[in-house]
Amino acid sequence: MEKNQILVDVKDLKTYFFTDDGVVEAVDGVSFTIKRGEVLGLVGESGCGKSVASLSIMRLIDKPGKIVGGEVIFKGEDLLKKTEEEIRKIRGSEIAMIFQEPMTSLNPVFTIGNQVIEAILLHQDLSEEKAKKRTIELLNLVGIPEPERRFNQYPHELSGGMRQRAMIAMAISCNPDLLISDEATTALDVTIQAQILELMKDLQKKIGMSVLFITHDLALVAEMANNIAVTYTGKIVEYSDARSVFKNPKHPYTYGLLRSVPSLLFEETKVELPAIEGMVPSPYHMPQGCHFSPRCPFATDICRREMPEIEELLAGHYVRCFHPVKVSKEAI
Amino acid sequence: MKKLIDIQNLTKFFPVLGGVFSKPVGWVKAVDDVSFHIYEGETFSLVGETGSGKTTTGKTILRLIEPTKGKIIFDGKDVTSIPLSEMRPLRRSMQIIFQDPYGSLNPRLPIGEIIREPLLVHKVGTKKEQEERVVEIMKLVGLSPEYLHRYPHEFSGGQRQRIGIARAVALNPKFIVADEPVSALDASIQAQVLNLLLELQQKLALTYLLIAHNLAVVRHISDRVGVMYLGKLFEVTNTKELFDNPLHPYTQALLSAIPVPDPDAKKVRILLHGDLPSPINPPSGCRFRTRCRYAKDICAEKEPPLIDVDGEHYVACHFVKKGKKVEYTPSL
Amino acid sequence: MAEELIYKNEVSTRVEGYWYLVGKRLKKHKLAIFSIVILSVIILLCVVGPYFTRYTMNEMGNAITDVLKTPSLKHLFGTDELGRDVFTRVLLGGRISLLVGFSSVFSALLVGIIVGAYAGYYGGILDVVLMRFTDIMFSIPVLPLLVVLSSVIPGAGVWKIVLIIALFGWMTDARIIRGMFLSLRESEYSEAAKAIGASNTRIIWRHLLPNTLAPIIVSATLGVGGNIIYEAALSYLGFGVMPPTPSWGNILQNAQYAMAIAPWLVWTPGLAILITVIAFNFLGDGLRDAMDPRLYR
Repeated sequence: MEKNQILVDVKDLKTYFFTDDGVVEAVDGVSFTIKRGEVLGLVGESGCGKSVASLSIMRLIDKPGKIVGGEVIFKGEDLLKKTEEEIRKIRGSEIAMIFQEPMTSLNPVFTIGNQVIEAILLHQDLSEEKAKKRTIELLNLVGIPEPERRFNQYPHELSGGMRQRAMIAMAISCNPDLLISDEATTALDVTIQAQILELMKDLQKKIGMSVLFITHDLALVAEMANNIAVTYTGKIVEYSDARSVFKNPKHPYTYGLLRSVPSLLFEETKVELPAIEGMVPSPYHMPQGCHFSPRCPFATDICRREMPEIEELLAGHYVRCFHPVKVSKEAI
Repeated sequence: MKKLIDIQNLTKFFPVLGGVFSKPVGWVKAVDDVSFHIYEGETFSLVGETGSGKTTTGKTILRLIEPTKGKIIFDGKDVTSIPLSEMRPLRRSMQIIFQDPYGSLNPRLPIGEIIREPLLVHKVGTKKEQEERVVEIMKLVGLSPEYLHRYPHEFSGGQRQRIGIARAVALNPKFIVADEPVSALDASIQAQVLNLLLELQQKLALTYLLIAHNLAVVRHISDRVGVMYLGKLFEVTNTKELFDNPLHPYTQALLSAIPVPDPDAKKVRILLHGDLPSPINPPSGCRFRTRCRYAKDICAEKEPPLIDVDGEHYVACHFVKKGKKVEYTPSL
Repeated sequence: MAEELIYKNEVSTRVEGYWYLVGKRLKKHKLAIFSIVILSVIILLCVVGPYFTRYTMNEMGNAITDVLKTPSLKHLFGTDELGRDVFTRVLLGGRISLLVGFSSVFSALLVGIIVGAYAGYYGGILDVVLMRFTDIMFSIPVLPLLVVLSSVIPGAGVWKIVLIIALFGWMTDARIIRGMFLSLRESEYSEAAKAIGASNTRIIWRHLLPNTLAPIIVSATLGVGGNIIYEAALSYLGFGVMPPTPSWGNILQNAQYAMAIAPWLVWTPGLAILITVIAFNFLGDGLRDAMDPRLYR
């Protein structure tokens, strides 16, 4: 595996939901690339489309949603053009996904061991005995103590952190090229989250897999990601490497978030935060022009009329804005 | 400074029922001998992870949950065991804001009625006066009064939280328990609601008990903080001191686990090994000893008392002595 | 305020109350809408129709020529063995059957709500006692007991029947409502009401009960159908509504012997019952879907 080889190239992905109340353009022209061994952080709030984008990559979109455009080039081939049969082979083995709620993504009536073995046997040609051995190895790898005993336990017998580790074991069981982590640590306590993050970083280095790390938490993405794509209402508004995004945010939304979300780095406390006004627009009442314009302190007429295209403002730093933030900020 | 709330040896055990006749076969020691006080006009935060007992403590103070043992002194009056009918008029002075903006509002009532209800229940003013007051409060929390007749489901999460806040301040209380008020909100909305809470505290001279697990939020709006673990209070001090100089090993681990939105920040993490013990059968002596890297024999034998080591900085650890003398050494 | 601007974009232009949303969803159930139409027609006919027919329920025509005539333009449903116009009788019978159906459901609901709400909300001993009582009532076979009670209790009024049916119809509702209260009392808005200082009574009636409306209405709708059948069965067995007051059940009873020679005497009330009950069932199904609590999210 050569580094710097592009693993995933998403081009202008569009996924729309056709509901009775109207069309929701959940993912509206999203493009990004992930190289081998790289971690891309996809950041955004509710309604930004980050989860829908990841499900689209996995072709897990169901009615009333439909992928209506774009390409997802994975290892040189467009996933959107593959048959259901071909995609199923890829899911779980070449691309794996872990979710937020391990309690609901793990089947409560099967043991942990059983579920990991299933993942292995589905994609690899191993005997049951070998698969079991591999499972114990994996449980060990993800830091589950006494893996032989845990093998026979049910999800409800494990703590949240353990369950998430089990999920990760299932996900990496076939050495995937890409791991998609969708808010996988959001429901965990902060000390457990720290453990899981360390585990993920560790595994990523060991196995050399790429990660699409989806979260709403800026701090997490600062820690985990090489590159960051900030999304808002279905579009990417800023895209660059992590340092640039945090030290030199160019989109007013990114800039606003960094200043308004309480972090340990803020100097003054108990003062009014520079909050972003207004709220995320409802998908059925999307404002005209730039979707962020109603909330943007820098918005002018053109912003309210037209949607800006994403442009490369600085080397490798893409922004979708008519008035990118001029001040070069130190992350507060 | 006057103590508005004085909690002494507060204890709450929940029975674990079993057997054919549903007799208690064990007790969940949710809150165990917790003592602290809250000064008038300040924001006191209780932080902790799952199972720490912080939410139970908050609700027990309001007698929404009945304490098993201990004393709750509100504004000089012992309210621990007064009959609930006597509690009712006191509820005008002590209110609560809930975490879930979706579940805490009755979906079948228009928001004007939801906000008016406290006034109705306590028979404050005539109908007209109540309606005027509702409009006044709505403006105070940033809601447009023309939405009086709308139903909760027509509003976004941030707006619903404002409705909940409006309901809580309707009777001009002295004390508000804010149970994770921003955890369920989008990142860009959190700042708005936090600002609102700060603003209201100023305008209405409120005292807050903030229950939270997000330490960045806690750091931003609290004056003093109490750290809980498995039903016990481990450390209490003012905010600056807690973040600059945490003395309890658990606090240190907790703080080191918090991700920071700076990709360059070097994270030296104190990783806790093991899982959270069961609250039904907590470890003997110090409850944290099973995961603490400084644990020695004494930790299993004796429970460390919460003592003031200097200037109202309370710590419960055998190895933190008066004068902030720290004597823990790593075990194997 | 910039905020106000945003709020205007967010909240829709008309008040979207609960019933509006229910109506919107119900419109999608073609069968339910169709049933509403059918039921409206039936109810209208039964209530107002008899005033417009040329006959009264007991008017007996000529003993020879008008007896047992097949349906014709003069007698839409034909005549019976006494020369009475069957159409008028069926309409009048409908009045009685529908009346019994609705009022027995209503009374049963009243009892069911009180038992269920208090058992579910307070729990403990009250719950145990009330639920065991409910269980006992459940285990009693209804129809035989209805028959027994009907023959034992003096009086022949329609209200006797309503009372008896209601006596055995409240248990299901009680169970459903108790179940809902068990979960709703843990809801946060119920806790919020307590925190404000609302009394238990206020919480039960103003906060929790309106949120249990969905299964109540569904159960009531289906119950009308069921009770109409009970009444028909009772009357058919001779223990329900007594002649000469017609009800669909006793019209059927009279018509037993005539099955071979005058089948319309059996078909007309029979179909009336069938269509009405099926319509109520479809409506109930539609309402159940339309009133799904996921309406709120």
